[in-house]
Amino acid sequence: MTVRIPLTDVATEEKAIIVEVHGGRGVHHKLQLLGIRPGAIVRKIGSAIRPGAIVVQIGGSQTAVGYGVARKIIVEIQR
Amino acid sequence: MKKILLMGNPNVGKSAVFSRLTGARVISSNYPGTTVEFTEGTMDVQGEKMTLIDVPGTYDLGSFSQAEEISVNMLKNGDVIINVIDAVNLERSLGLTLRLLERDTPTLVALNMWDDAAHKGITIDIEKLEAILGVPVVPTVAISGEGIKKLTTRINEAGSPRMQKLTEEERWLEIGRILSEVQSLEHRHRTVLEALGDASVKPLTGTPIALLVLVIAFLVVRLVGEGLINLVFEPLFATLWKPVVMRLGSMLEPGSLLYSTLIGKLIGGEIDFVQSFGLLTTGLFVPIGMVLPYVLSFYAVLGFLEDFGYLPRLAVLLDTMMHRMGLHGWAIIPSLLGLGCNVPGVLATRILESRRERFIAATIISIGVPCASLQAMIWGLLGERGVGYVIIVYAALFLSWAGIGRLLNSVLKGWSPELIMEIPPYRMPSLRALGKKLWMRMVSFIKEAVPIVLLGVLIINAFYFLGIFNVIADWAAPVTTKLLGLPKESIVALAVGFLRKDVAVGMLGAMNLTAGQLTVAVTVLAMFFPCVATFVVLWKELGWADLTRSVLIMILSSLSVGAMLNMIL
Repeated sequence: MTVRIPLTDVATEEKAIIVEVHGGRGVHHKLQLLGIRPGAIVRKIGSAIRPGAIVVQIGGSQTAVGYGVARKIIVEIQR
Repeated sequence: MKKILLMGNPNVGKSAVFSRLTGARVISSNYPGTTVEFTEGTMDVQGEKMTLIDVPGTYDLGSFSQAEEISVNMLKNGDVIINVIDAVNLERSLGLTLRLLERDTPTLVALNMWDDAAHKGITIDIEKLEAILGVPVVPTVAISGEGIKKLTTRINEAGSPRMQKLTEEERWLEIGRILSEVQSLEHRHRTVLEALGDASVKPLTGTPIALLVLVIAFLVVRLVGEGLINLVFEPLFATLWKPVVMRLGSMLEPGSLLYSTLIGKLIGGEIDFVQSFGLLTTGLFVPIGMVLPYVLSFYAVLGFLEDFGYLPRLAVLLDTMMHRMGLHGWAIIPSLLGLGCNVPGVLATRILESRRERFIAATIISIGVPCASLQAMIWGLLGERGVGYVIIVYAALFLSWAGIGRLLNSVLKGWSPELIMEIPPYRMPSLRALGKKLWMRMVSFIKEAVPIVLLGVLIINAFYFLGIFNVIADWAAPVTTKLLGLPKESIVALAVGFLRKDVAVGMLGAMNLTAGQLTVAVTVLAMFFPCVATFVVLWKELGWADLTRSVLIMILSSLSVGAMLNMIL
């Protein structure tokens, strides 16, 4: 079954497809430049203790995003 | 002279390319944002001298942080752009490349970290990429120097194809198309370093790794620092330098102004490098014999952690804690740099996006982060009285750092941006690069510290001679004696701390304080007021109004913490 959840709820090592990125223009743009945009496949690598930054792998590189930002990144996942 | 700009995303190796092209030494590390101001050098392009400018990294020509804003402004007056891109992160890098090619400044591309791409199973068809972009593309490995010569010979071929302006959507589609044509990926197994990198950012495995790294780092700094002092520097001063100074002393008239300025007072008929306080005795021994060994071992360890790529991972783990202080995880890096010297620490706060964050970070660095020089003196003089006292100082400083951060976060208006940053892969640092970086930092320490220490010792002697210290001591006596429980003349050391804090601890050490008093005094000294070098940078970064606020916070907090310690000890 495909479910839509915020990036904060993805489990470590789980793979997901980004479907929506919300948030202000500045943040949105910056995320896009780092490869976080609808259609991208991400794998969650790790995080700080909740509510803290989340690290995801996109293609060959890793990016950390704060909890508040990650909450506004909606992904699709098979569960 | 023609101006060449080196531009690219953060952490693609611009600074490494810069030092290869100019032979100049600039600091590069394995994390984004090492260069926060631009560096200039000259290079030779087939007989013609040109200026090369290392521009701080940027993902785009919009601006998010102060450092990125600098890059965009620089673009206006460049004649040629060398766009450094990361072969491992071609997709991310090309965003900026396409933006640059829309403008009319001639551009060429250095495809850096070429070796890493090969290890990761990434193959890039360079000829095809060159044809699509319409400008030269030169594969380079800046760390080893591979491809750098080729890059210089092709600078004159730089072109400006003036690609048509695309919307953001169109640009990403175009990048996708380019990638499908030039890049092919081959699956490789995860390396040990990659697995270790991933384990470092999970709370369960990352926390023990962080503790282990910090404990080992601390022990290495201590052991190497102490070892160098006991085995190398102290013996050198005692056996080689002391006879020279004694000899010189015998030619001067004891008690004369010249004698007390150069040699100071004799302690038990002998020169005491810590207590004599002459230019040639304490003035040289403090910076070189006591502080330099610690600065050396601190920067050796920091350099390794920087180049290995550990710091961004520590930033992730501490993100939750830093948020309580109105900052995000990244802000731990300026504080760590501040443990070497507060000046680069405060400068590094530029990587933070908002003014509010920069104010909080700069203020807590100045209050709660003791620089290596100060720490060396604290270990040297207070450590003799018992390690427990040193721990009290560190605990008081750490609690003030965190406490004042939380306080400022709840008092100051506004909100704090969230962390968004690239995590570089772990890389085994090259010994050559580490050595070079350490050497540069040591040279700048010697150039900046030694003259100011000497000036400090000179002023101290002059003020003693003129009786100025008595005036200050009497004036401040209520605060010093009643509030802090210190002898009234210790205010003089606190005042000298404005020049250099290591000299100030040296003065305190010569004042026959009890261990408790010395603990209170060095804590207040650390928090009280920034040294002149830090003061100037704070002023430049924050402006007068915020600097004044910051300094008031420092004075208030140091006096309250000092008074509390005085009551406890």
